[in-house]
Amino acid sequence: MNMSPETYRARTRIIQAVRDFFTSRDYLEITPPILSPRVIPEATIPLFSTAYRIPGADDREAQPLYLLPSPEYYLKQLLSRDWGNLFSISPCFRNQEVLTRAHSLEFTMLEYYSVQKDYRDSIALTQELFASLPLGIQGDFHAPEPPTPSGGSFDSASAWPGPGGLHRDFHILTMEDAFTQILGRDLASAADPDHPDQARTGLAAMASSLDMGVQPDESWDDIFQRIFLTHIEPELPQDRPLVLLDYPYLVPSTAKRKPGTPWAERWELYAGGLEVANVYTEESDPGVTRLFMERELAQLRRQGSPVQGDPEFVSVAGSLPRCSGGALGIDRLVMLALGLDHIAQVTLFPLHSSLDRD
Amino acid sequence: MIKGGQISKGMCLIMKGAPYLVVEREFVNPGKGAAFSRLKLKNLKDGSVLKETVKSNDNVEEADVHEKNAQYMYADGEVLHFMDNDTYDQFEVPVQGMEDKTPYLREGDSYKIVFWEANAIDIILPMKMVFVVTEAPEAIKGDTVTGATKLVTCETGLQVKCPIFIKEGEKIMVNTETGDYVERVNS
Repeated sequence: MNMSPETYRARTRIIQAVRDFFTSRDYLEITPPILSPRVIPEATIPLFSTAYRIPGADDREAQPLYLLPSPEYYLKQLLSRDWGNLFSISPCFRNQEVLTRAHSLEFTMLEYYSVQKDYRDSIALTQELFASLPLGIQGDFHAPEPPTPSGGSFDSASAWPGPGGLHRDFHILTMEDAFTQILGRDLASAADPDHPDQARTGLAAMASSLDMGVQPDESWDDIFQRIFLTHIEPELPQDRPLVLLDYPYLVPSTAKRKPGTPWAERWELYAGGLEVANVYTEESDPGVTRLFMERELAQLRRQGSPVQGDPEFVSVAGSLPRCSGGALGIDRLVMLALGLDHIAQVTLFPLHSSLDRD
Repeated sequence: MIKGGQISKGMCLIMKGAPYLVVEREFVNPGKGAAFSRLKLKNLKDGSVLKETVKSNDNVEEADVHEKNAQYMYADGEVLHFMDNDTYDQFEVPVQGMEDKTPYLREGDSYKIVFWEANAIDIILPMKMVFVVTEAPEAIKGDTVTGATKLVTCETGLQVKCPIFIKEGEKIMVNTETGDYVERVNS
């Protein structure tokens, strides 16, 4: 599955278009470090770790270094120092991934932060970004394919909508409505962050009513993910990009809570059956950020991970301006723009050929 | 016990006390969230289908299954007859649930049969098989577009989409998982 020079050129042109889009709107491009002594502790993101060995010193004095799983750690430091609107297009690394048509261990991520904006403002920004991109290998526009009926297909490749996946008109569907419309279940009553035990009981009952097993010690988040991945995600409409709005606040993240609701100010973008972007209004309360980090660190310790928290990051989060941050998978964006259905087709020297298992 | 991330298609699992065959398995790993295997399972007792998603790190119980090599003899109504290659014992496999496999069964050929307890629950086909084309419509004149295909029928009744140059009496290799034509076999 060698990448052709035409595909590579198209990929380069798309990345350039993304860069031009943000630069012309006065976002400053940042090149974050790849090798980092610190990361934001996130229990669900397995890291590639290495170590710095000081010449002549004992190996035990080696200092841990990580391949950056996301540029968030660095971009937020600059935001807290009032650098204004920022973006980066950089390689990111995640361990313990299965190499599929949508995943590799190294991938290219666009991360963007808009100051004095919230997550809803980022919807319009992302729509404008999509509209600004060249489509197709030759850069020509392909009309969107006719709508693909949603429904139960596990073989998402067969439902591939082609370059129409980059349609600029987004569907917007709240997570709450997705549960009502697709499953006929009321998620709000099983997702109250102020009564987590009650929420867990309610969600476990929902899982049982869907014929799904629940482990006695299973967390709210794990039960939620399993219901979502089994019954909601495969049924989401695929004819146009879909903004899935207002994730439950009980799903751990650094997104701000939507005041007075069980939801977080967070959306994800699905296009062509792929999860393409994840966008928040960023949490800027140091107390909430500290709680998030402590929970993640406790989980990491249970997993036997040596990752340490950065105490300074709490104060960094505390001095963030009001802002909305988004992360968007560039490889998947290129797949959508070119109508290709495998990440190895848009990656020069993909790891798939040497490590493939799926 | 195996980990959720090690589940693959064709495995047999015990879920909620009942045996299930893994019909489909897809790895899913949300950008923010743990890794999971999304499964479509077939109940080996009643044939019902179950959708489940298991976390990659969670333990899942494997069902105690074993395989036998057996020769396919003939179909008789709702039952397929096989003969154990080692003991020459004959046994039956119900057609129900195997409908997508029966077009690949050729009398006299050997297949792997999966048993759970005393029940034959699955037939494992070779990845690729060669069949003789018994019916092939003439290519439509002037239809020379690259990639044009036609539907041919093979000796077992299997129907395959082929390139238009395939003729009756020729042999073709077929991918048994996808049902796709692979290549023409010269012999």
